[in-house]
Amino acid sequence: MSTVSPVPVVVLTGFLGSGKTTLLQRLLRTEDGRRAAVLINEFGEISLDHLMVKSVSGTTVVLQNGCVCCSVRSELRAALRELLDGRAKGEVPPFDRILIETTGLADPVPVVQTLTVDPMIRNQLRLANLVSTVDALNGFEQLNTQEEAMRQAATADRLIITKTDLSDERQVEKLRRALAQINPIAPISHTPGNNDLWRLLLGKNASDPQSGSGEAPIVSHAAEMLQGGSRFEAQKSTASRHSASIVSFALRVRQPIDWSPFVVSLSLLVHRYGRNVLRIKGLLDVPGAKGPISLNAVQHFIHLPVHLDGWPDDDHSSRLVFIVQGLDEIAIRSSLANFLRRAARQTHLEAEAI
Amino acid sequence: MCSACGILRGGVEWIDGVTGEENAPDRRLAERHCRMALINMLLENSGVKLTEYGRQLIVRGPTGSTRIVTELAHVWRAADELGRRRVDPLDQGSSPPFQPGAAE
Repeated sequence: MSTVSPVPVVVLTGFLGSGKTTLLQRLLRTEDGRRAAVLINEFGEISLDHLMVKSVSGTTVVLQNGCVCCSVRSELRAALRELLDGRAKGEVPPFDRILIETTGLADPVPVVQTLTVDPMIRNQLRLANLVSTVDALNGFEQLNTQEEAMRQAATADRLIITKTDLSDERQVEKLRRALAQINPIAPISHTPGNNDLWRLLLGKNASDPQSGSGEAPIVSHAAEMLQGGSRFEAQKSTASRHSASIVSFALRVRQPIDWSPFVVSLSLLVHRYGRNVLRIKGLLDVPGAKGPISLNAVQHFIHLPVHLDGWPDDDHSSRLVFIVQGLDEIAIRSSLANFLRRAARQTHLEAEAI
Repeated sequence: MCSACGILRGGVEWIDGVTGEENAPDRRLAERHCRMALINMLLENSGVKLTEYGRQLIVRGPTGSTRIVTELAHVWRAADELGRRRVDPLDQGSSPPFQPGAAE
């Protein structure tokens, strides 16, 4: 039986005028771009003569019998199925990557959800990275005035600062610092050269078992920085200018984490507050698991955990980095800790009774 | 179905397949019962209970109304519909399992 690797999908977000279209055009002009299928929200002013560019409207539906987080973009799903069908029948040129551009959509979760609910799509595609472009000229101002811009930056796996050639170093550095405070778990790049573009978008990602280990040092480093204190304080002061502040913080658990109570409490948290839990990334020490478990969540959506071969450093304690909006860090910390303690005690009593 | 939903059924979901014990056939049923007990611990103040009937999972509200569920997110949603109050993991005052004293 032949095994075909799932096609990686990059979801490209970014505030209006942040340079998504320019980036897209550059991507498609590269050698690798010839093997890309592209789904864009609407053609608008974009001028693309690529063979596989399709327009997808923004219709979002909630699946019958589905929960709130099971909303999918129906036309995106149809477009993806059409692409995959067409490829199988030889009706569209072969492609080995898909790029979805989500102009005007602040919330990437329905797009992510669309990749996972349809069995045909789920088996043939995998989410590579959520990538967000931020404009060096206007990005800092947008982060401070536009909630959508802030949320796009906070939910991204990769951040790309665009238009650096039009701005000075001080401006770029100011934006970079602001982005690092909003999203300490996303690597930040300036628009790279053409040869590195696809590598940046498709490179290591935490939802892919083949490259999950590459993400581990990023999470580990972010957790360490956030626990250092100064960065977190800066984060709070930056975010406080917004009506509902975005805050990042890290949890460290020195004892192994009991998986069942952890997932039950986490699932309740994202059910109740999924819109406010923008990202969670973590490395977990779970009894019975060989090596650390890499956890990656976007709002209501939690990726399949990835088993990593080893820890990124000598520290084998569990680390979780949260990026939340309008939620109390202390409440999340104590809620999780209290429930894990109570569950452990309950399990202990049950074991004694047997 | 979403990826946070698979706790109560077979198949590859985010909550399954992480520990060695989960993968052992003789431990799967025990793990399922353990998770049901944990869910009921969280639901205790809402008057809602998750029970098993054959292979079906049923959420029963305080008035006797029921919902058949297959996935974890549906448990929380059914509990929201049927319960006296919504379980809020960040509101320790209304959710005893999340209170500090609960650990002692």
